[in-house]
Amino acid sequence: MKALRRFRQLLRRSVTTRALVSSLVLLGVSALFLIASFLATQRKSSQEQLELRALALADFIAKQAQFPLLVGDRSELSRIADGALSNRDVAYLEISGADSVLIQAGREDRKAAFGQRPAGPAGTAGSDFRIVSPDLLEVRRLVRPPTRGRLLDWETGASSEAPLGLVRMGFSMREQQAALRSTLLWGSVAIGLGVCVILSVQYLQLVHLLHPLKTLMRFTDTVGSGDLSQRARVDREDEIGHLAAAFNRMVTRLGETTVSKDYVDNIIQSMGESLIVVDASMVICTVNRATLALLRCEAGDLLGQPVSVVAGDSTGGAVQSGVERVYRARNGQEMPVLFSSGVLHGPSGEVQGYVWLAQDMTERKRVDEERNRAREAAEQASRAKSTFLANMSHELRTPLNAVIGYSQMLMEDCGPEAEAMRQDLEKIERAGQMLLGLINDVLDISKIEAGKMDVDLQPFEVSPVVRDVVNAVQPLARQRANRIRVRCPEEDPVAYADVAKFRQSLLNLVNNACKFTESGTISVDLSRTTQAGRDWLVVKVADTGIGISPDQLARLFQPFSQVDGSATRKYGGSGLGLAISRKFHQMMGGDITVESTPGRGSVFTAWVPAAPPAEKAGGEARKREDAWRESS
Amino acid sequence: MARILVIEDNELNRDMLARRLARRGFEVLLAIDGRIGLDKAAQAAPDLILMDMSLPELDGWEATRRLKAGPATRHIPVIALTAHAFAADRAKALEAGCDEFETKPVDFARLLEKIGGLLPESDS
Repeated sequence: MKALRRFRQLLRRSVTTRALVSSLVLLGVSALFLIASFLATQRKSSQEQLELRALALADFIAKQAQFPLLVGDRSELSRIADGALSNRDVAYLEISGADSVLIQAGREDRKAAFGQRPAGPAGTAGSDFRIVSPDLLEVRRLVRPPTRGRLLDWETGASSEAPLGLVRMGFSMREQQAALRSTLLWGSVAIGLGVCVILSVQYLQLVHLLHPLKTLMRFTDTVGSGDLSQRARVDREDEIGHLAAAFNRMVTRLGETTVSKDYVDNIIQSMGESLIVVDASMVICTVNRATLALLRCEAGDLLGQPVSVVAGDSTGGAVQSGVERVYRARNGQEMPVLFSSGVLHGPSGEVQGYVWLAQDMTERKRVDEERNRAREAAEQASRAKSTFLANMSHELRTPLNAVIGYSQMLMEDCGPEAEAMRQDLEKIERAGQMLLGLINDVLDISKIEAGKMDVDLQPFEVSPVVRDVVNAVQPLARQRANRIRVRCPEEDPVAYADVAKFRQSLLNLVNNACKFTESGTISVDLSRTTQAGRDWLVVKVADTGIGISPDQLARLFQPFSQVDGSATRKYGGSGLGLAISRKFHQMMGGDITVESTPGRGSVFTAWVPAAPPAEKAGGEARKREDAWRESS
Repeated sequence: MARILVIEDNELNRDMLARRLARRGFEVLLAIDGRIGLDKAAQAAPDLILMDMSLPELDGWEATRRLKAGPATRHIPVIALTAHAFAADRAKALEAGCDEFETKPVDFARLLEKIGGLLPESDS
């Protein structure tokens, strides 16, 4: 049974063996069939021939024995027997008369046959064929009296047909059998040779046929291992040749497409991100160079390890994107990474593993931390500045309050008799006020430049503020013999700005106008206009003073640029007023512009928003949106 | 004669205000910090309080809040005096319960106007 199994295995494994075995079986069966049928025919014909010969001889002997039997010539019969026995094939001969055996002759080894009664079946009258033994054929022939002329029985005078005697001849079939045997042998040999030749030829043909297949197999292995430069030899035009050609075409196409292993390998190794491929049981099976660089280790340290040696936990068995994780490097150092993962599916949809992609975030984290630290430092500095300004404000003003307050108080105490003292006190008070003004200006500009100045935008009525300012300037105007004229539109104009800052800047403008004008007119004009999609309050402060030259105009709004050095000495002022005023207006959403003609006068135009911006625009947009929705 | 309580920790400011108000005919009470101010307000029942916002012990906001919470003192008008003129401070003062707001250095004339406006019946 085992042999059978092994045999069947052999058949399965080799086309050659299978072909040869099947040929062998076919040929064998055919050969056997051929030989069998050939032998059968041969045997039949040679048997017939033998019988014919035996019969003929027996007939001849019977004929010859006619007369001797008739006359009882024994010696003649003996001579006939000898003559018959000279025939090689005759084994024995018995001629018997009517009732007794007269002659018995035979070869030595056959004499035993005489005693036997024939064992085979009786034949027809006149002839008898009996197979006495495997190689012996017995022929019996009755010796009849000659048919030409009847015998007259001298004694009785009756003619008879009774046989004279019997010839019994043993005919050897040995030669025939030997011949047959030899035929069989030579035939077998011939056929065997023929089969061998056929099988050999077939074997050679198969080898010749299959050899290219072996070459193709080797070639396939070469291609399979990544070498796409080889091509199979196509030196046949048959099916094998076509196969080789088709194979070459396939290899060429493989080389052309980007799915070739080298190309993909190159991509994986060149990418900057760390790539880790794990199998379904979370064991690392592929890593790229970037991974080794990130984790500072060799491939051998990672391959085959559970992925938890890299990432503390094993999450990552799903599709994730842009998650912050920590990878552990070989030396235990923690590397922050930006992590994404995908699932690897096999051809029938089963999960084969996972692909982990990680981007080194240490640099980014470092930058972030630095930025945070810088921001905190800046914020701290900013807070310090605020505190400083707040403190300064308080510290500087407090003693000044005392100076101003006491001088005012003392002035109140002065009666008419202390007019001189009152005037001195007034000087002190004025100096104090001036100092306060300067300190305020300096603090304001410091705040603005530190970015600590806030605006408080509110809607308010402009007219009261204008009146306040004009009243405040009256003393100076009278002193300079200037006339102040205010023009206001019919309805009470409203502005959306910081009241205090508006007042401060308007005061500054009107003060300046008075300062640089003598015996002139200062007019304050208010009007409304719409520009750039907004409603504005336009305040024009015009004077008929000394004016401003072009290059002075250029530096006008810069801090500490006074138009005229002498003006400062005369009228005081820090040189910061215009810079602060302009900054205020800009912070409120508008601006201050100036036009001037030296010797004729100047016009300062302040733009103040009349209404809040966003609300207005938003309201418009919302109205439009609602209309659209309603219509659709 | 109206009684005014001045709660101010700075000596000079306190002196100035007190003397000028006295000259105008007001009866002036003084307190140098928030706590004393609250006590005096409760005891002496002034007609108006001038409260400096930056006080030791108890700052002006808290003091105002307590004044406005106390049954004896809630009806007394309070004018906040502060060195800062930010809108935030104004809002904070009003939130604490101040009735008026004045920046330092005090414009005495303006202050008088505001006092006049807040006193129930002004005699002077």
